[in-house]
Amino acid sequence: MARSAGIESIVVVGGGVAADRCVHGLRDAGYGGRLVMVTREDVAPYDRTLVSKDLLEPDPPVDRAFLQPAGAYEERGIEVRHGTTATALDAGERRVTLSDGDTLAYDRLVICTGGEPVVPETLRCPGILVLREMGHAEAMRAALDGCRRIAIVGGGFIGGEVASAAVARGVEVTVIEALEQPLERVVGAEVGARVAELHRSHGVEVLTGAAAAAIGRDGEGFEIALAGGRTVTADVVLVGAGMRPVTDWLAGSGVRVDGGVVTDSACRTDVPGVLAAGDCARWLNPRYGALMRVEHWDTARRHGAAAAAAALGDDTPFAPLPFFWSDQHGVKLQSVGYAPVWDEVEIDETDPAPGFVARYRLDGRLVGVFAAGRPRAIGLARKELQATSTEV
Amino acid sequence: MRIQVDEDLCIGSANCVNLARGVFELDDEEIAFVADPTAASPEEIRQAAKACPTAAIVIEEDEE
Repeated sequence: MARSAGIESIVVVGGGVAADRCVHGLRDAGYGGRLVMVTREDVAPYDRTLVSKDLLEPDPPVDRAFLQPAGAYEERGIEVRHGTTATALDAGERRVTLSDGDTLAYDRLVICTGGEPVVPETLRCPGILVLREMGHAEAMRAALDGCRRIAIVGGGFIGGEVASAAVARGVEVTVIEALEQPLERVVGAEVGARVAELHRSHGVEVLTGAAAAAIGRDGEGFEIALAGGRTVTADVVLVGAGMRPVTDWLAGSGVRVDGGVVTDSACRTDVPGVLAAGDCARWLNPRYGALMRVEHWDTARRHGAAAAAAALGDDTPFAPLPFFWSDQHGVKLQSVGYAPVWDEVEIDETDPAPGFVARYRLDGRLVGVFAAGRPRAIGLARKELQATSTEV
Repeated sequence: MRIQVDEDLCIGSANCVNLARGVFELDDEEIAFVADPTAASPEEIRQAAKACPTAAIVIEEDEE
């Protein structure tokens, strides 16, 4: 392809969906040069959304979680470096140093390093679990076998999905949420209260306004001290306290990192030849005229494809309408739009419980919709938001 | 079993393409369609429907 003339080596750092879409997007576009994917994981890219969902079931669909059929990378001439991380970037020389000591020269570097779970220092304790990778799901599945009670620190989406999987297995569940309601920061207290109610109606104990202060071992199990003085005991503990972008290795490289790898609307950093996509990237979304970093599967997937095009010189802006979903207690929670602030929320519960639709407005304009068990309402909202949210 | 994709709901996240390989494919506009309903087991197809982010896959089970 003429566009990729002069590009002979592309390195993609990361092994999630953004990296996967990027390497395959490059080949789809006709790029025929050297292509290396560097992934810290020992397995091929997989559907990460299953980690907190189907992969926690007793008979998990592990084989079907992979994004490509076996052999797809070899067939397309994609070198995959498993169990390897990038440790340093020399942007002047266009070279990446890897954890195995090797260095890779590149004409284009695409950073898709994603994120890693955050565990606040006060909550660090041997044996606690986090959940982001396939290996974490395996550990969680093993832990749930024979588990009597699990405590989940953090009432976010991961916490909610694990709570759902655990009660379905007959495990007693306590969710410990520091704010007044689960998901409060994302959907507000009024809607968060309905999500709490969904959990409680399925037998999950939800403690709100309850900050976990410390986690200690208690014989075979754990003891979690809450800020108010109360103690929760459990034989398994999950900390679902969010994630941070993996960008430490870029220190001193000249690539701008500010709450993520900062790029323009076409995935390009300030440094020539270096691009970023997925959970680690904070890019200018022209739909909103704002720098955004989102941790959504659907966005990461599209972002990886956009980065592939951008690496070959296509500067079409990446302007997705943010969308995510979560499956909890058999109810699909879905969100579409971008509503970091709103001044009005209207909740429609006219259909039979447990479903509802919450519409968020700012200055009278629809900015986001969150729904439980109402996929059709989300479909309609997507069309409305697509029409109304485009800036320019 | 009858499988349908609601084109109004599908956004092309492609989770179904992995979970029931061969049954679902994406068209040029990244909308899923049923390519071969026999390519995966009913269980795999049910799982793909459950995992669909937009609940766009509708399955009608055969009557016993």
